Amino acid sequence: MFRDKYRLDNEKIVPDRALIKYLSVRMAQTEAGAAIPSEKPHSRRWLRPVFAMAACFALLISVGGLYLNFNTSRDKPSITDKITEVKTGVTYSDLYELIKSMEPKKDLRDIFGGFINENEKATANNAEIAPGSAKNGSADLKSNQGDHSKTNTQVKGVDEADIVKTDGKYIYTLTKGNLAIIRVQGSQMLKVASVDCTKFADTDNESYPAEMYVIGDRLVIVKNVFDNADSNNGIAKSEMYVYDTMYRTGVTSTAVYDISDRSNPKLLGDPGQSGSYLSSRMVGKTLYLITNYTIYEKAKKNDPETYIPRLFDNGKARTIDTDDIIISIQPQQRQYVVVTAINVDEPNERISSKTVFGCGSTLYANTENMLIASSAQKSIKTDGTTVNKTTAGTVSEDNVGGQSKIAKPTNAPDYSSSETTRISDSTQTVTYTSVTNLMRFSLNDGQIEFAASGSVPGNLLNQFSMDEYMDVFRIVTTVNSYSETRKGNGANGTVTMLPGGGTTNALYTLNQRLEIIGRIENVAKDERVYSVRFTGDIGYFVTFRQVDPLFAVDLSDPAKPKILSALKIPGFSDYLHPYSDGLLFGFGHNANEQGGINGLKLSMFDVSDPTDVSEKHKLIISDAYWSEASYNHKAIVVSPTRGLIAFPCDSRYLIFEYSDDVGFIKVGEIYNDSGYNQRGLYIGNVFYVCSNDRISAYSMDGYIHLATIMI
Amino acid sequence: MTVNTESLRTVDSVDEILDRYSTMVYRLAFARTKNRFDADDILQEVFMRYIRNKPCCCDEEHRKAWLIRTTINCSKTLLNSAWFRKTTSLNDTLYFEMKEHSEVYYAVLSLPVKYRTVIHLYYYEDYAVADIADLLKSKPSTVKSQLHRARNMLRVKLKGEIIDV
Repeated sequence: MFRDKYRLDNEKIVPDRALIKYLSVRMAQTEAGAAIPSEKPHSRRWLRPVFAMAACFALLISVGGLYLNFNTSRDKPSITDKITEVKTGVTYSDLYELIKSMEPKKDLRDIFGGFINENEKATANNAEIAPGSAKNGSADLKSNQGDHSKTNTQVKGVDEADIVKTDGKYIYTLTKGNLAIIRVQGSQMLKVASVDCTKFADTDNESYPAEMYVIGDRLVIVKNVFDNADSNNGIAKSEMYVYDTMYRTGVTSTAVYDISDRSNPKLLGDPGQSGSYLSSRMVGKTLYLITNYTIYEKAKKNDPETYIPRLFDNGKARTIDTDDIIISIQPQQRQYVVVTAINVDEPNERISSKTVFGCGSTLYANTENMLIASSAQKSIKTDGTTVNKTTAGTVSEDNVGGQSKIAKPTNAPDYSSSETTRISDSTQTVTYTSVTNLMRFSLNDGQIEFAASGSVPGNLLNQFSMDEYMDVFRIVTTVNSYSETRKGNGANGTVTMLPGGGTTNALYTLNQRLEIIGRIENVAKDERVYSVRFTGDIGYFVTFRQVDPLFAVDLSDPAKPKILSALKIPGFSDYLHPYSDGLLFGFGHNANEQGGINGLKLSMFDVSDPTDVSEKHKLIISDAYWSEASYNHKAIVVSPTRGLIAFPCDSRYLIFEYSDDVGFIKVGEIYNDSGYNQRGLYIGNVFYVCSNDRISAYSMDGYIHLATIMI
Repeated sequence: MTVNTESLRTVDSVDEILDRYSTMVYRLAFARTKNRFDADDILQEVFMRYIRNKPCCCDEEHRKAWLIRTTINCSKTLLNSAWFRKTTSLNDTLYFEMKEHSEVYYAVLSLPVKYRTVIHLYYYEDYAVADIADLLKSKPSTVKSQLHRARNMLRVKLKGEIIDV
């Protein structure tokens, strides 16, 4: 009786179907070694009345952040407005000494052992951010004049890799390690080629294709390679997961195919390089490939391969020339960013390569410049009797190393500052602020040069947080900071969180030397940035807590950026897309007055007068839970010329039309049984929805199903 | 659908595993955390751990046991965190979940977490005392006495209406 009742009651406890769908995608992608979507669907945790606990929550986030920090940052010890010294012409033995000096005293395994889970998470997140940020979705504003859609990219003239591409005659898909080429003509689809891309050269190593480019008669696949030799060598299966980060590092390779005969792609070359895939861009026929390479093993003096990143061309490995290694500033961790340029017509002749100490998490590139950003944390210590977190006298600054922060006990944040003032002279106040370190490379049609480094306060959201216009870089960040006092030393010491600190947002303008020349700070306290887009002299960004302020910023004088307007409406946009002159499209979530999130929301903002931005049209999709377009711009199709907006949503694919007078109208709702990796594209008057195992064609008159092909 | 590349890694597809076990994990997580937000999180964490760690489960019983243990561990971490202890106001989300009031489920959720867990494993998952002891890494006698106390508390709470507890 009790048993039956309890069981009956449990029947009502069921997980959300969309969450399961989402989880299945994440699991499949993790399994395939591909990039994982960087955000989970917005948890309805918002509903919980946690505002009183915000401070406590912030503490948790900062603790989470430090693992990331441990893993990825420390490449630049301090925030600096001056250009950093660039050292070139080092020798391998210089580098050996340098790397040796950074090796941990203890075996890295011991250090990782304790918190491998979190560490692994941080790495995963990090890896996620990168491809996520590199991914930009739908058809470009100007480039979709033609009769087919293209991958949505951030910058005109700079292509970004994706899992589905089209050139108007063929659709190319990369699913489950397999490349498929499908000839399409209206509703007629024919698979002409299928290539297994999981092999790397002639080795046993497994590789997982991540993304691809199609340009003319060249098809380029970027893939992660896992070194099976290492993994089988002395490492038991059960230990594998401890070594996951190491295992993950591996090699990033490309595969360049000649597809002049679409039914018979010929492999021309597979240049690769050390490190895990961060992102890539294609400018003209030049591919820029960026990886993060971390040294986990001990360096061996006579074996440069143990401490210098390698390049793989024609099946041969070589270490990067010393001329191409740049020590930008006192490096603190054994990490390199490797940037190379490959001409896809001659894939076996690498144009250039550069490697810099440091790491990257977010990438912005236009045709001239590339910015690689990484997040770090800055601490300002104030010693002595004056215990005041706002003390001006800065005694020392440093980047916080992961370990010292890990030792920090977490505390209740509700101690009053008066309590700390009675603490005597052994007290130290430390203020932690998030910072973003930046590196600029000039691309020079493939002749990459390291050009500058710098740093701004706060963290980036994604690649759209950065932009360059008229030789000025513009960056929007969310700045988290908190202070604590430390009394005594070591195990007997106490750490007290001070009130204050919190989250604000900022915009910076920087010159070519990455020096800050203009700023707007302390915008939207306690909110964070959800989306950013720059168009010419105007920048837009959305922050969110309960309502969505859309800020319009005038950047015509880079030294004096000023906020023109702030439009407050419920909900927030995750993605902004300049739609046409005077219109800005926003894709995001709806929220009620309490900040609870319910459903997706499409907005069209009238920005013809930036000082008076208004929401011209909106449409709320209340039965929607999540969409990949929220965090991956490549998943959305925005075509102003056709008045078309399309994106995957839960297990559906939704298509909307927009017109000035009536706003958004849903014209298509396509259910797909195998609904992940969904991309949409159009060629002529046919709309194609691509999932992980099939492509379906729909007539754009009424979205009637025409045909489906398995891939 | 023939996919050679995936046969190297696991026989079961992600979807099959989710189909079979997501509800089980979710219900146990819910019984322990008493709210859907955390149950959602634990569900994700458990299956992501599963896919990352690939525990070698020779049969379904082992797989199920691994998932139950991981669910308990994940929720333990959460339940022990100060954040959870301070922020969770419970019953409001439960009303949302259980559209109508259910005395039995409420009574179980009102028990301390260790009692909820043994009750759930015993009455819902049908595990024997010895198996539960295995799963919880404790002694059968401990589990037995926990079950006994939990039943007594339930009898009081349910005021003898359902006497066969």
